[in-house]
Amino acid sequence: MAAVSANASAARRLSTPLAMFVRQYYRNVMNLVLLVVIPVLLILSYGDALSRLADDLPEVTLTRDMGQSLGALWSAAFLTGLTGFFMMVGARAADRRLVRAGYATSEVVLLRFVSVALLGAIATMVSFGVLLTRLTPTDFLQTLLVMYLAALIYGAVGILIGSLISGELEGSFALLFFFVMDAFIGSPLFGTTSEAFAFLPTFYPAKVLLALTAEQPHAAIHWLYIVLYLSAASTLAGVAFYRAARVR
Amino acid sequence: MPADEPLAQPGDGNPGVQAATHTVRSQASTLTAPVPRVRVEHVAKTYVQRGLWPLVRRNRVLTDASLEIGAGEITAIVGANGSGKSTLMMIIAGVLERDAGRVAVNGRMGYCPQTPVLYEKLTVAETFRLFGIAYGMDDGSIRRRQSDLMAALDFGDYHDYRIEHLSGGTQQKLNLALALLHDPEVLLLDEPYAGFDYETYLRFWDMSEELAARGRSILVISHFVEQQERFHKIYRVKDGRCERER
Repeated sequence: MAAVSANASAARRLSTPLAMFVRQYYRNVMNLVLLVVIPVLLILSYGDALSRLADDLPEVTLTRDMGQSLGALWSAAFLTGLTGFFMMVGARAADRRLVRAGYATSEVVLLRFVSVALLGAIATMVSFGVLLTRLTPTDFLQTLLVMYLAALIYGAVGILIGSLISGELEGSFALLFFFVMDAFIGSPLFGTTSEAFAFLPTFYPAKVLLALTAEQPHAAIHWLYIVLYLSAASTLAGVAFYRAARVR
Repeated sequence: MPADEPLAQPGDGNPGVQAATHTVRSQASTLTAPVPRVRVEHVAKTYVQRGLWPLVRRNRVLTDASLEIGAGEITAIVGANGSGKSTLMMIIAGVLERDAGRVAVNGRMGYCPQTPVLYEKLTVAETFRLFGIAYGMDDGSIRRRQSDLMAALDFGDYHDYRIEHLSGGTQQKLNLALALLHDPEVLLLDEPYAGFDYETYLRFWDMSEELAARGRSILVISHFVEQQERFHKIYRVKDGRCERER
């Protein structure tokens, strides 16, 4: 009986802040607007534009389907990156107070990561839903999975930037700059061959997704690279967040 | 605060309060001399602002600050703007790292920062619940304390309001109420009544005196000490040190 009570207490201790972190996000109207605008913009408009541009570049093979798939990937990733960043910037001081009140720093860090992961899942589903209005992926599961992994990577990047840069404006610029580097300069449209681009967050997710969309084989090791990237980004973000939130 | 609306008492069903009382009692039974609730010794703090390399600006705020607060005492920290009052309190509260010195706090602490530090998208009730759980309180205790504190600080009508929709004064009341929620032995209040109307200001002092009478230790930062008789001790932060004025 005591064990049941202790479990219920622990569940309440973790579920309450988690629910409230997610609630905070959805009470911001701008987040809801972005959740609609960004997928539409990146998948319908940008995806189309990217593939049309590629039509004029004989050395680049990028069909409309591939462009739209990339748009969905970046939509899920960018929305989750924004979530991670603004969650950190808007709640850094209050999170520290919550730690001061009795939560372990590691609990708050974990709960923030879980809430970003949950919101990232929603961003991925919305982006995937918009993509489905334009094409039907042959491999639903892997397409969804690679989009979600890219979203998680960007969620960690957002948390990392939000932990390190306290200014909302400066941090937004940093995230946007990072995203532009990744989505535009690192995109297949530019025919980038430098190995340095492999260090951009969506390099391998984009490779896998393009192969899936084109129904071509891809190297299994790319999945491993994606997971390694996610682990490294999450570790860095976790350490930075922990240092920002801990009680001295 | 009306006498028939007491804040949580030891043994009222709040496990956090009982645990804290036990801590205090065990100290009283095992120690012969009274132990200060808060002891700060030789604390130093320098803020370092880095500009373009190699430019570094160092601002030595505290050089050798020491103070003591006993049980049941209301203590003021006063001083000019930028003298280091808030820095000292943040160091005691554990939200800022010190460069040197020692800080010892006996008992649970409640900290009310100078500006409200709250989740602005949550409602007042959700905020009480979140911080109550953080303090380890059960749902019944959270509800009772919330009701008592909102009545005592006169913002009972704002239960379901989001914090972003509250006035600055009401946010400050909630900011203070969160520090009091778990009935801590040590209260650190950084200009807690900034933005209060006069009636709430008086209520605040009634509440503080009642808490002190129950053995709670209160440290208040204030720019002005118009009513010196309210404080048992007054420390002035000046030139990086704490000078006891009273």
